[in-house]
Amino acid sequence: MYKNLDEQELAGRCSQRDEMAENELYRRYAARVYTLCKRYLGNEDDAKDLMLETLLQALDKIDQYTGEGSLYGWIRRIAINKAINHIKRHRWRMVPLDLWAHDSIPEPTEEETVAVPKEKMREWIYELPDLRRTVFNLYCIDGYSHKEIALMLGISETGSTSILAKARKQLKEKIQQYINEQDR
Amino acid sequence: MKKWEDIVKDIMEEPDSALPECVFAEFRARRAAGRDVTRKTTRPLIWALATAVAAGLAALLLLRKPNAPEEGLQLIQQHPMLEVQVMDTSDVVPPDMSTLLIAQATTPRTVRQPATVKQEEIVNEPEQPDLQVTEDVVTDNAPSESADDEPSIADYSPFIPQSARDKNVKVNLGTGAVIAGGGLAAILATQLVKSNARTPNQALSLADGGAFFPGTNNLGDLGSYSHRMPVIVGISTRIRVTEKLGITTGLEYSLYTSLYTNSLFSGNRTQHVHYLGVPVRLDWVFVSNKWLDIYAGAGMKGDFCLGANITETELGRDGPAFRLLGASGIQFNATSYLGIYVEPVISWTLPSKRRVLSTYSNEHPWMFSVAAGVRFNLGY
Repeated sequence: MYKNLDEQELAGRCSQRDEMAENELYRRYAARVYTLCKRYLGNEDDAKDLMLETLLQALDKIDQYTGEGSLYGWIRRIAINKAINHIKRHRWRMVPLDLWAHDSIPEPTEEETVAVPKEKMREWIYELPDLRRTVFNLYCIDGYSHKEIALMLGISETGSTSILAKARKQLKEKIQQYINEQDR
Repeated sequence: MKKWEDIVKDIMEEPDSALPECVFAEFRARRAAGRDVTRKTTRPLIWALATAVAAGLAALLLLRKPNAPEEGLQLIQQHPMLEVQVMDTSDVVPPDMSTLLIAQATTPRTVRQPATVKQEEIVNEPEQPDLQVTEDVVTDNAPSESADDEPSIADYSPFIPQSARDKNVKVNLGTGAVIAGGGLAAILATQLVKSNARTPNQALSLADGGAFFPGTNNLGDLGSYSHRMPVIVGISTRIRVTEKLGITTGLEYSLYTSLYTNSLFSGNRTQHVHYLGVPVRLDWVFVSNKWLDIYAGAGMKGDFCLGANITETELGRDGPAFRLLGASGIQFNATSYLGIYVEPVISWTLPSKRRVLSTYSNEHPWMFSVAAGVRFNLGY
């Protein structure tokens, strides 16, 4: 019965502390929120804790969900805010010295990119320095603008652009390196 | 043709199948037990309130007046004795001196002694018309049995002027707490008073009711004193209330050092007053990451005297000092729970009749100091 509830109804049931509805909310969104947390934080333990905190906070504040936009979109915002706070609080914003962000590495083609195993791609993103990974996630995956990123992270728009360029350069190098190794 | 970034986006948005099964059990357990985020933030608040109440009770216990008269230092008033009048000291004895304060401790170690002239000399030669009164002649009326050839340490120990102690103290702890909560801006705006060495003429005289060499208001070049800024070290804990706010409390040891120079004695005498303080402060952490916290806060602190000595003579315990304070500091985090802090503090010491010893904080109610120590972070 709960599987057929739409988002608005599910939120309504959750606000009434319906345990079955809460379980359904977990079943629907836990994996997606966990994936999101993992790509922001880069490790499983922190991602698991953050996912739980996000879902628990979402259930506590489910009354504030007005029905505008998807329920997942609302939960995702909570998760992103929590992830950014976590990174800001626990991580030193130090990145390897790389003043020359402009790169001459050609853009990988669709075929080259698809040839890379998904696990490898995830691993490379998890390995990015905190700030680069956060900006890459916010801009390329979650669709935030540089202006929004600058506000969220407390950096300048130029800084956000520069950090993104470094993250892209690092990922392109990894892809290129993998392709070259496969060609040998 | 898809861009490589779009392909990466698709990969990263795919749900991760590696979500452990036990996570759901943990989710249910935390949900059922109410161990949610709201509880997480309220629990430290309860701890902070409990700490504040405990600190308040401890302060009350320490503030209560001693039952036994021999506890602590006391100031008593004594009228000048007739021996004073037999001296032809029209240019020395102040005409308006009606009463004379003598700082006196009731314990044998801190009994005040007359300063320079043998009492016998005054008593035995009361009728000498040409008695030359020198600067070191005093009108101290201490009992003759306590007279001594050597000047007593207690005579130049730094008791604060009576006029300062006679001020009506109407600020109570409740008012102080309210002021502490909202008064950071006022504290920061306060001008700091420079610490300068003062001569006795500038500092304490009989006109002020001071007990510096009681019996004369002409101390001339007898000496000077200076107070040094206190040294403050502590063990502190910050209890997280919200993301940015935390209640900071703990224990702080303060050492107040004063240097006394007197021409009557060879060398200097150093006074040390030791305090153990309990600060309670609300801090706003505006920069925080793995290694570093930068914060500012306001609150109050109770300093309780552990003991005092001047050179090697014990002076007993002085009364407590309560201060409103504003601080801004930097904390280096060794781990998530442990850090080392350095914080400049501006504080205002509430006036009190119970404090007798003159220290840097009595001299400068508005006081600047730098505290350092180890801090435990709870709830982070």
